[in-house]
Amino acid sequence: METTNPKTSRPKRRLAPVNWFGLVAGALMLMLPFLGPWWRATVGTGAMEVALSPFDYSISLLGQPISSTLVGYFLLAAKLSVIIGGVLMIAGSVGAKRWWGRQLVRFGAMKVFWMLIGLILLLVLGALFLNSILPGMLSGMAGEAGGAAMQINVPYISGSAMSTIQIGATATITAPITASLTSVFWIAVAVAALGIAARIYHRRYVAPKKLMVKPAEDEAEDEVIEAPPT
Amino acid sequence: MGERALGWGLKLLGIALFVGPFIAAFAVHNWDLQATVMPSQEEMDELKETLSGLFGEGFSEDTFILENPTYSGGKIRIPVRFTSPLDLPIKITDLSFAISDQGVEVAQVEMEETEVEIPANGTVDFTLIGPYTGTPPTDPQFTDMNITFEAYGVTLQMQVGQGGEV
Repeated sequence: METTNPKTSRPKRRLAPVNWFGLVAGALMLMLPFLGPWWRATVGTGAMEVALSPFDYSISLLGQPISSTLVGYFLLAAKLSVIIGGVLMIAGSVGAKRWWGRQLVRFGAMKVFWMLIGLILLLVLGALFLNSILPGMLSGMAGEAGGAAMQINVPYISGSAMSTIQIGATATITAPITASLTSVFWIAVAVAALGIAARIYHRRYVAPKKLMVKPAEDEAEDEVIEAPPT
Repeated sequence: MGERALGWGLKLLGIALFVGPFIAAFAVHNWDLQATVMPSQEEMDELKETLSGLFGEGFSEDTFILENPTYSGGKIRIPVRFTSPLDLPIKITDLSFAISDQGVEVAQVEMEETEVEIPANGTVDFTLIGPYTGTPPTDPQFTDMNITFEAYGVTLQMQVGQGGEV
């Protein structure tokens, strides 16, 4: 019969609590800026190519790249923001019970989610502008110069469409436009979901604020005050 | 105290990452709005050069040369030599027109080939074919010309009402 000596047996070591959702989300956040574009669009077969993500973009017209300093710096900041967010998320998830854990997780948790929302809004508003506003503007300008009817059909986020520019009665330019979300977009969706899950899951490590009733001397007012964080 | 400081620190970091790029981008271009937002002059010049270079010297009388037609088996055949003035490879997917003689339409011709690929500034020969009976026209004119080009997957269709002599 086995016996255990309470003096010699070691107490079981418990692993420090870790927010696993946050840990995985943080690791993926460090990789996400380097995985490539989230969305691509092509006019014809390379007449114009656009590749977008919140961290990088490339626009080329007949193989000639077009760039903007302001956009470049913004995307660099977005890249840094997600990398810092990822590092803090990992730190906050590993030190889930520490006083700083919650704040670090909160800083990184929603970043990718808001980037997804931002990109989708940009694509929808961009397509709306190209489909509904730009043709009117350009047709009006061309109308003064001789006459052209423009019908631009840009797919909203994903799909294929055909755009036409009618120049008087003699010429018609037709260009197929194809847009699609890449697999990286869906990885970003997974990261955003993990980030949200990490934020919700982290609540279990935050001690609820206790309510304390002041001692008897203030009984008349019976004031309730908050206890300091534990 | 530490929690509050961390909270403020993270808030400031978020703001710095949002405002920083604005300041950095404008500072790099000496606070010039156009230079900061728009593509650089170098890029615009290269793009302009690419676009203007596409059309080379433009279309001329030598672009399409229609050779002498032949008539056999109830058909008219017109050999065509196309010399592309464009600095990019293109395809001709449709070339058709009507032939009139003394003001009367006598034939309709179209490409025998489904499509013809032409390299940048290249020359190709192809044939126009159509049904034709009767004697060869004495004063042939071609009208209602329809031509469709394709470059980089973009299609340009042109219709020309009046042409020249065949």
